[in-house]
Amino acid sequence: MKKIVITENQKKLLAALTLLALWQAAAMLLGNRILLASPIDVVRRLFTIWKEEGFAASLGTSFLHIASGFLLAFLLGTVLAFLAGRVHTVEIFLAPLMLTIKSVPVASFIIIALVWLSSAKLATFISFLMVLPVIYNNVLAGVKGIGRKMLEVAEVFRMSSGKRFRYIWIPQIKPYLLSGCSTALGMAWKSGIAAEVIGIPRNSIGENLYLAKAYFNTTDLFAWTVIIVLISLLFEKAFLALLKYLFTLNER
Amino acid sequence: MNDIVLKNVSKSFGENEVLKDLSLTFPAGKVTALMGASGTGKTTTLSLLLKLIAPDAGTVTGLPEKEAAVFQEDRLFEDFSVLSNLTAVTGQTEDVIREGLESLGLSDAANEKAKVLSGGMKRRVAILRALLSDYELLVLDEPFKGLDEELRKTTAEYLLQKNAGRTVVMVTHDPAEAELLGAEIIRLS
Repeated sequence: MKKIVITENQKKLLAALTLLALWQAAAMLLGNRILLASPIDVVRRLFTIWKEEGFAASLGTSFLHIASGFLLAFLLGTVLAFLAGRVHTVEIFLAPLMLTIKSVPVASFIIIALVWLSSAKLATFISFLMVLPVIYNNVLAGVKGIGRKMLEVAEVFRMSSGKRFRYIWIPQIKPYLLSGCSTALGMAWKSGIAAEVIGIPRNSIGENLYLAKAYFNTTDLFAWTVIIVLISLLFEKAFLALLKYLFTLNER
Repeated sequence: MNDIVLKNVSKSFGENEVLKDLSLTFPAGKVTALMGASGTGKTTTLSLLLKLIAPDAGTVTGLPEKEAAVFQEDRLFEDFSVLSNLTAVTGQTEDVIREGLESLGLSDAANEKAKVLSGGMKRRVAILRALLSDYELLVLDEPFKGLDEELRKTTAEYLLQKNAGRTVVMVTHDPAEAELLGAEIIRLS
């Protein structure tokens, strides 16, 4: 008898399909779209939701807010990590701040920040805040992990600061930065959307999620959730691909 | 060019005293080989010459401003091509670098990343990097490690030709290596 071989990817697909089937069965069993929308309803809604007025504006607004928060944290986190890795006093000074940001629940930050900022700026600030310690800690580990030996090469051959940065520091932090971004990109979207749901800025994904909840429109709630996951994944893949491309350019 | 003189030099790392009251002279324009058992302070002496460490006591005089080195390990920029490795450090034109690569049998490796090279190829790139740099003192720590006899001979010939009478201090365990460069041997104990 011929043995059937199932690959890892096929197994994962099978697991996902089983989960979808269970979800569909549960929705049919309950028979109440407010309690649980079925996956078929959600897929149908996805085909119509993008035609609605304000869809592109909602996507654009949320993307702009969250991506700018992420990019600000990416830049500042990297610069601060370099400073902290080279000057111990800076590391000591920043340690309690980074620990506080990491430990305080995101909901507390959102509510506190809502007192200071407009709802439009809230998602940017919260994404920035959640991403900053992740990038900072990852890059700091890379900077501190530099071997003495390569720095000796730079010293003996009297390499300029620019060349040291290009040939020694960038390759050193590369894996740490990629791993930090991979974790932080998902966090930026989760925290940014949470901030929007509480702050309810106009024409945002968060506002749509809030309205879906307010009107008990569970199908819309699920459809918007699928959209958030897709945008988050696309942004993650695109940003990491761009970062890898920039590293490749540096190595030419 | 001046002689390099170490006078009553001592150096410790924590409790471990590696050099004690060491006095040596490295004549200008000559090749000198330091030999001796492990732990006698050969690499520490090279680090002093490269100004990577300072002596705890004693003086080192006559050190030039510009130095180049072949370290015990190759220490290349692994993610970069051989050409990039050499231009980054030496500042030489691509033509000069390609000529050097050809002399050491590395023409085909110019565009390869350093991390994919064999041990012997990496070693020759490290040697070429030092030789194409602007220096007055060349420091070599077991420079021909990993090269077969034929390659040792051709690399040593190229090294002497490119060095053109500048001061060289090397560490080696093999008297034949010192002989290849016509070095005067100093034994540390």
